[in-house]
Amino acid sequence: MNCRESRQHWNLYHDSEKDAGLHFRIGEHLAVCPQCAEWFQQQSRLEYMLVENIAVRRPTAELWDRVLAQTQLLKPVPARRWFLFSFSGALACAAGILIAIVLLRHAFPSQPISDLTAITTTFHHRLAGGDEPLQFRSRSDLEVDNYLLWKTWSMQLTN
Amino acid sequence: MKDRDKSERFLRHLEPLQGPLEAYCRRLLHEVDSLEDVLQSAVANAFRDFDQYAEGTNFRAWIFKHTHSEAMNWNRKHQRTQAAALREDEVAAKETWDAILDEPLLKVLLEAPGAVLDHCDASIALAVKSLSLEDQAVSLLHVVGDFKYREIADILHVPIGTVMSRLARCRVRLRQRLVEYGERHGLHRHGEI
Ligand SMILES: [Zn+2]
Repeated sequence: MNCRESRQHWNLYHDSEKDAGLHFRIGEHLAVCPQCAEWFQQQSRLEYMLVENIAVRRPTAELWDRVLAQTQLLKPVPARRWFLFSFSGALACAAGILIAIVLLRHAFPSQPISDLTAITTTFHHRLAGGDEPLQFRSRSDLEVDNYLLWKTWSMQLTN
Repeated sequence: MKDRDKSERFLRHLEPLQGPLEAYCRRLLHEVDSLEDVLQSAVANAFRDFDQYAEGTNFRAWIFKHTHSEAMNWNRKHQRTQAAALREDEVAAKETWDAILDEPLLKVLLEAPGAVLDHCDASIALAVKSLSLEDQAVSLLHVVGDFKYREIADILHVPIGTVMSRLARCRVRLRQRLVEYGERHGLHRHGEI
């Protein structure tokens, strides 16, 4: 195989297409012809760079959410996300308030209930403002129940 | 339950291909605004026909076939002649692999491709768009879809020889565009590797 023939077959060589015999003959030529070897290497390098440029393959999440929702393969996304957000937010708040009641009742056993309500409200504001660390977060009401039971139970044990 | 199982199986196959399918349509469509509609139709049609898909066969080629056909239908419906696209025989006569072998500027491009490629994202996109639709499809199925010649021939219903000649032509064309771009913007660094 000469230079011209081998270069004419660069596409097939680069793409690993056609028969092994052709690749072998090209390989033989490249082994003895440094000019073609360099030319092949440069063509392939350029091709890889072009492919990298053309084939941006990361999917756009929002686009696919909408596509799949429209084809009913996913539930409508904005509603679903809002539902999850509000549901988990509500659960987290509920857990926070209940924990606050339990903790405050424990800290101030003689405090009247009405004062406890005020303290709970203050605690809730502190929680919402980020002044109190959130001790527990879950999207599952079962997990929230279990956590509260465990918290109450462990506090009773320490009494 | 059966429907749910079908959706889950379909989504499992589809998920890793979302990026390539999106990239393919984005490049092939005349109007990128229609991307969402085209993908939605393609996915809906593929899901409708999913019962005919034999598990364990080539889902990638199967979904690309649906997507390609949808994108081409859309392009045909919103027909617009591509100013830069040449007729097939015209391209064949003008551009062969040999024709640019001795081009000195191509040599410079090959020696330092980064000097040009780093500056011409949009220009490459335009160069791809300037190919005929058939050439674009072959090139994009190869580059974006990672398909072998035989698979491309099956997806496009053309002989494998046509795939080979179109792909070679696209490569020549893209290189010519890069050379022109580099020359116009003074990006070729002579003698630098
Ligand atoms: Zn040689």
